[in-house]
Amino acid sequence: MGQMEEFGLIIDGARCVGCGACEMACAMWGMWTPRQRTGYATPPAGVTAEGPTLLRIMRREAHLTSGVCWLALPQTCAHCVEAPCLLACPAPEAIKRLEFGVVHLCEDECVKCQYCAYACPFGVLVPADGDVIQAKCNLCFERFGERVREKGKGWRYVLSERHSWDAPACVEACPTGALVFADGLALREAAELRREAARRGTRQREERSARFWSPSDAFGGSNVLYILATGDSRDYFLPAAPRFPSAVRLWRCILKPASFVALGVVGLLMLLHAVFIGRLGVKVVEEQEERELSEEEYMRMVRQKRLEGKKMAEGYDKRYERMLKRRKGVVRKRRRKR
Amino acid sequence: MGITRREFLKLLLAGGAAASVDMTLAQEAEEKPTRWHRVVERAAKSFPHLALCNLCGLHCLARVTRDEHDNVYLAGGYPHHPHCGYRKVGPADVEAFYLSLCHRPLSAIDAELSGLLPTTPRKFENGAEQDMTLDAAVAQAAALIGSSSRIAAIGGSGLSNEGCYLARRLLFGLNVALVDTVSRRIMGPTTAALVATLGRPGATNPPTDIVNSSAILVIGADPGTEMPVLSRWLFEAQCCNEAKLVVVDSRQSGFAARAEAFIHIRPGTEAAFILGLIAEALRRRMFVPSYLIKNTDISFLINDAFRTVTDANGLFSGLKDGRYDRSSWRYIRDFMGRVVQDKKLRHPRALLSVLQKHFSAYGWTGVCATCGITRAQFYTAFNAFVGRTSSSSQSGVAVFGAGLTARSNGTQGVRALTVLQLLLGNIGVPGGGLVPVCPYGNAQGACDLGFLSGYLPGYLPSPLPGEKMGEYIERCAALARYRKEQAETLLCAFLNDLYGEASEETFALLPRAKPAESTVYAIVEAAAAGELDGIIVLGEDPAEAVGGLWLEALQHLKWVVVFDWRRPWWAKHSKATVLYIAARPFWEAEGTYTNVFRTVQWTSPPEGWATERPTDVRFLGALASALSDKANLSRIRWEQLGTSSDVLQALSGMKGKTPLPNTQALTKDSAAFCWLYAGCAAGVTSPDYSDPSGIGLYPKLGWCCPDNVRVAFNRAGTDERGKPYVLVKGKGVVVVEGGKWRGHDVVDGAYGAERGGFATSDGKARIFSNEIESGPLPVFYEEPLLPFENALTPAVRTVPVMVRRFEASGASKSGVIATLFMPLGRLPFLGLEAEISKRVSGGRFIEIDEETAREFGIKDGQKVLLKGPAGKVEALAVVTKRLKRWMSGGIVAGSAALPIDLAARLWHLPQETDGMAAAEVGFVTLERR
Repeated sequence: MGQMEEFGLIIDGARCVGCGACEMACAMWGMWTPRQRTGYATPPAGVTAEGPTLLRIMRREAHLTSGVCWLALPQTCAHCVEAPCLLACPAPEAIKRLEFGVVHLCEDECVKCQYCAYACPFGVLVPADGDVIQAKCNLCFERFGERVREKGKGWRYVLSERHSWDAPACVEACPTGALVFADGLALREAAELRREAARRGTRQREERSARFWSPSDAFGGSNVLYILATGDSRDYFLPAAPRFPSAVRLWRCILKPASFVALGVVGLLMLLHAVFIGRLGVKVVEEQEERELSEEEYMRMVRQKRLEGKKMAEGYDKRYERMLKRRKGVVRKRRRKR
Repeated sequence: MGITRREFLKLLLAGGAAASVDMTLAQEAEEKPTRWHRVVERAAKSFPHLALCNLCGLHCLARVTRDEHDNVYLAGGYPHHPHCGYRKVGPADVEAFYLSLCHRPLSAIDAELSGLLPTTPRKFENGAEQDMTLDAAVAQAAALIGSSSRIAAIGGSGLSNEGCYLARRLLFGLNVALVDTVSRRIMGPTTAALVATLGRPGATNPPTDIVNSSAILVIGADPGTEMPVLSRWLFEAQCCNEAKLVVVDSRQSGFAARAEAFIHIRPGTEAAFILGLIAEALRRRMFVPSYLIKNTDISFLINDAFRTVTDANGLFSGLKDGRYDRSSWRYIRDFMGRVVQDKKLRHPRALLSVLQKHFSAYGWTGVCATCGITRAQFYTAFNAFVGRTSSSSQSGVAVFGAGLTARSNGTQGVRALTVLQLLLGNIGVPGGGLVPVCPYGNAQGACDLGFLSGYLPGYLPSPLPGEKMGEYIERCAALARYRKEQAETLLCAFLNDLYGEASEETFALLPRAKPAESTVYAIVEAAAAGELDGIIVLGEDPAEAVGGLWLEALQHLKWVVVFDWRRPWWAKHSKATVLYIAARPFWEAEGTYTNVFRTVQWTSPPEGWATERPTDVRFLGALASALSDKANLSRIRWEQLGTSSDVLQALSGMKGKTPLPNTQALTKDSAAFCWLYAGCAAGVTSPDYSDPSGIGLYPKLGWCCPDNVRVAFNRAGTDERGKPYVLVKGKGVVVVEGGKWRGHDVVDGAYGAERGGFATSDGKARIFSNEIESGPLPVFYEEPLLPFENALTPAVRTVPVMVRRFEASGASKSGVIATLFMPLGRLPFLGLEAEISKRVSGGRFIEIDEETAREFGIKDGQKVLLKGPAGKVEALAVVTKRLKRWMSGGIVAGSAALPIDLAARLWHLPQETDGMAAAEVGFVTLERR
């Protein structure tokens, strides 16, 4: 990570008070409807009949040894460098990692297969309820850039100067500064400063271990860094150690290459079969069928074949038996239908 | 090999299909406008404009985004505005930045998008709704107001300063004496305490200056939802200045959980906690004597007949028939009438000795027992705040909110906090001061311009019934904050502006009421008793202050005229005719707004903005001209009032035909409606967001009242030779160099460095004040509606001078302590209906502590019923460990916390002290549903 132009986000759990402005701003900008919650319960993210969730504010009270502690954190796409959703996506153009560090889901190309949702280890994308196009956070890419079609090359995503925004909608709305927008190089440095502040500032002794939690270190790093006040991602309903989902790994790293290998092997065998055996065998049999050999002639031919090559004998025996049946008119009828 | 040719073919097909399934599916996807297309399309046609958000007391500049049809759909912070703009994390070369806005403006925009904000006036009568034109609505409002004599007005904090100015003049002209604001919840006790102690109200330091604090004490407030962007500055101090952030509250809010120390105290004991801090600071002599002697009355000798609570068994001397006779509450004066001082602070009658005696009643043992905390917790807060800021070179800021003010002894709570800050030398210095957390937009402006009952504009006391001008000026001169000629000047300037001349005759025209009878609580109570015909509501929701009582009042009133940007949610419950005139929400508002930091900022919609909603000035101007033949409105001077900027010029004051430059230019023949705003028009409409001081003063961000002073009482922050006590980056706010004042700020008051820096007649703040009725020194009494005994002064349980008394409900088995909180993610009332904020904020729920829930068999998410004196409310229970079960003196009570918009239906507690506050803590019964 850390390309010059890459965008990134610091989500500072040591500052978040859980007001929900980020979720509201995201929904109002992104034209989606947040899930209804009762009390502070965090609804599962993802697509429902109401539509997708691009960002959700998580609020809960954690029971730490030092007492109860209210925790809140906005949760959104981590924009992993080797994103599992990107790997899992079967549509070649749908999910792309742009050079600005944004993992972008192009909704035109989405095939509603939901594989990305199964692949995402953070629960940011959750399987759709029915036939809904998946959507995810793209760090408000449309505020900084645009998509242009290039002949023969498909879509290209470029930064442009013509918009008047400075940061994603959630960052512009966050009252406490818990969301920080950063340029790739500055991201780590700023997060380090914030973590130090969090270490000084968080209240209980065991929470002094406030730390980064880059959710996707497992996937070549990410451009979204979390600072967790408790130092334990499980307190925030995040996985302890996010892993590349094994199903995606199986499908993408083993099964899919294997399937291509298998396809090649099958094709090769077909070819071999056709060249060396199949074509000949078929030809002989079909010629004989055309000539309407008599029983005696056929039997003779089989015997002759048996003398020529043992291997094919069984097959011809079967064919011989089938011919016997056809004489009775059973098999023949069915074949004609075809 | 048992595979035939045909089987080979089949396998081949299946394999190929499996491998290429993605390709096939991809081809099936059609190109149709998706969510992202719509977002991109809208973004391409969007225009931003800047609008000052007036939904809390901080006033950020929002960059509002509107689509091609001028529908506003989103807002974000404006990057160059100091309150909410860019901050970089760490050193300047780190390109990581953030800007701020909050859920409050988003919730308002959300309400607009959900169709909850009407654009035309509307009449609610006999259960029917009828839209009408503005002209018709003004005519009807004039007819209603003109035909009634018993009128009251509630409002102000939703109007612009210009709106307040016009509305207040209109009310003077209509002889309406009962005028108050809903923001009294917070501003009432704050103003009373600060005016009595320091001479002027309002937060002392700008929000951007909080970064310079070494320690922050937040008490009884949740800045995270009430003034969300304030919490950014509190965190900023924590991050940039390594400040200690201590939160003392009765409920662990999201903000409190982020603090370095959170002290969970029993509801209603906030004042006791502060008194404990003061007592401990006095005991350990952790105060700044030089600051105190120069700037306060600490060295004054107190009258021998005065008795403190330790001597007078929980009372002060002079209680008779439920009122204090304040004659013993005075200083010893010599034969020349000068106060006798002992600058060595050793005299047994010196205020310091009296304080030490008084505060010996509030030692940490008693305070810990009362607040329900441990000694360790008390000392955590003490060391973090008092310990760090008691040296004269360090400063700390005290942030407080409704948890301190909306109590039966709210005024004394704020007084206590002010005294603590004075003892620590924290007022008038950078990074110090007091900050009220106020969720009402223009509360400060409304109070400055006379919407707070008990005050004329500029905090002159309101005239009493039958009072003559001479008597009135004598009464003013008896207050610490005015010299006689000063009081006369201010009154004359006010009368000149209002009636064109200052004379006994025009003074007699001022409507009069006793302060305690004109609070919002008293007004609504009178309305509920059928004593009023109609109420004019201006930019506020009375239900936020008086709750269910307002719904009851609506059954007895004849009419209510509402001018607000929010639809009156209670109109459908009303028997009274409700005439609603839609005002402009913040993104199209026009005029100036004053935040609690006293900064006046201008906002206006873009050129040619098309809206049906009238500006404050247009509506109130139209109403005034429709009523012009009524009462003595004809006596009111209306010339030079046209557009909002004309009104701003008028508000800024005139002397003859020249505008007033500042308060020093005030004379008896000048005209200034509110003396604090003299000269306010200068530079307000062309703000400069730069900070040449480099220490967060932003001297040209709008204008700061009075006289554009950013750090109020900044002379107090220098020693007798004019050397600043607290330096930030080597700089002081003001400093004497070469015999002249210099510095980055305007000097507050044109006096030398040796004089005290406060806005009292002698420049000395009043730690001992005879202005507050419940006592000259800060004191704690138990909440009347809670079942607990007062452990600190056992002889006197509740405030002895209560204006109204309510029976304590006692500890019943099904009772819980109920407190209010500002819900997350929504504006009260409005957000419960708006599409997005209702979903984000969690709907109708209340919090109940775990043990109580277990006892009542209530599970998380179950329905419960809470019954209070004014009604009941059904809501989902959120069972939480963040609330506690409290025990004191053998009495056990669970707790519940209610979002303010649910509590409105539940209970009203208008017991008052000094006509100042209503306690928003009570005892309600709980039932499982």
